[in-house]
Amino acid sequence: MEQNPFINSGTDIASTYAENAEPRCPSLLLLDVSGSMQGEPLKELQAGLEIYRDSLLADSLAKKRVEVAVMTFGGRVDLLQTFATADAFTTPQLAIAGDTPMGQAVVEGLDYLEQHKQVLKTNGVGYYRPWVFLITDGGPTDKHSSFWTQAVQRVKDGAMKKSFSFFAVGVEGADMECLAELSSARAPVALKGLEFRKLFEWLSASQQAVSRSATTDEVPLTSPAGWAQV
Amino acid sequence: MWNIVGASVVGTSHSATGAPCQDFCAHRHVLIDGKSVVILALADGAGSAAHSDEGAAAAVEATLDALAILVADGEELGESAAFYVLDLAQARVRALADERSLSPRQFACTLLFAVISNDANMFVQVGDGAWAVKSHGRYHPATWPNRGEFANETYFITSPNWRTGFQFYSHPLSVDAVAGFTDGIQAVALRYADNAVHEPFIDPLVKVVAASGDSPSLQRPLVAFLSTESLNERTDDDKTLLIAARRKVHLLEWPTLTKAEMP
Repeated sequence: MEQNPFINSGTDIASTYAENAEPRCPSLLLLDVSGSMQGEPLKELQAGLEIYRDSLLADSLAKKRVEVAVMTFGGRVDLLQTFATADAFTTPQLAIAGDTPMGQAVVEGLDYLEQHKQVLKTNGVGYYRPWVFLITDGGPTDKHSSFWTQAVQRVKDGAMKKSFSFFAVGVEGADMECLAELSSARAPVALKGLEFRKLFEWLSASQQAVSRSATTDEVPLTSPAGWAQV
Repeated sequence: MWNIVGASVVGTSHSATGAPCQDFCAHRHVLIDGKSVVILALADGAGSAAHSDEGAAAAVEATLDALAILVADGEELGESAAFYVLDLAQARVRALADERSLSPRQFACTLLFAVISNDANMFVQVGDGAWAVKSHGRYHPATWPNRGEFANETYFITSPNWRTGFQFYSHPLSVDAVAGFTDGIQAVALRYADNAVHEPFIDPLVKVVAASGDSPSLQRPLVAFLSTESLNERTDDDKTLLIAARRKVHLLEWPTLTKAEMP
């Protein structure tokens, strides 16, 4: 074999790369677990979450870069899973409870996201634009509280400043008008039947593409036609 | 006397999709009043821009042209000289876009350039990638990858906000070697924990360049090195590495004469 002075120079390609922190792609799930999700919808949503975790885990880059947090709203707002990459992520068991404080969930979720971005910044970890994914089959029961107006404003600001990508998904029975008010920059999408599995497959595939993108790339999203009514 | 070698190699993600290499680099070695001056430039075309490979090439060529004139005119190396060069590089890219009735955004690229003479130097950058400087045996990052808030955003010379991503550095001591690289190389060449150059990666390569008696012959080995599996495992992006090193002077060895042989 031909002698290559560069290859044979003893250069160390591995060690600093191993130490340099992987840039993160935060993914915040805001999930409706109010009474109406009881039964089949909740079961399918839970199955979708498992698929999401498994498919992130199956991708060598995504499992190190995509970090998922789960916040639920049903009677109250709960942070069930703090931001964790797929290998450290245990799928939380979703439990049904009460009404739909959607506005409060959005506000608290975005607060938590901001706080997490600060942690990443402090530690010198780069990050991709975060994803916020809201799934509901109802409408906000806190529509007449300050939570809702604040939620609408903050999602709007976030879209304008491009500080995160917000997606609202309505399951059958969802108040699509309220979702449209909340997600004014990107129109909300209606879920086809209970295709949560396809939705999470799409989410995982899209985030795999983003987490693989070089620093000079912008990643176009693939069509959500497999799970969304278009 | 300087040895210079540089190469740009397409990333595996680009070769998988058939996208061209969007990185470009070039250099000139000029003599001014008998003194050698090294001029280096490299650029990384935006993955999201359709003609960024052409943008990167045009920006690098315009930069070398402008720097050669600047140096020949004996202009002082400083920020205003850097802005003058950037202005010409941007104008060249805009002209290219105009010719084709396209938006300059379709030609978006980062740009890094450097000038090193015996008594002055400057390192300039808009966007990511970096310059590493070797001076008196030690390495310093002259510039650092310049990013927007998000990991997949950077500054391009065609962006309205390019000034936010502008970096200028002049090393106060004499420079023995420099290495410039695009973002495809930065994760193996820089240590993010303490903002340092990863010397065990750069230095062996610099030594190869410094020791060479025939640096043009290093071009092909550099391409082969940049295409190795161990690098591709760590980045699937286009990779550019441009190294300039003062040639190590090999003193001719004269046969020593024993006393008895002396006349």
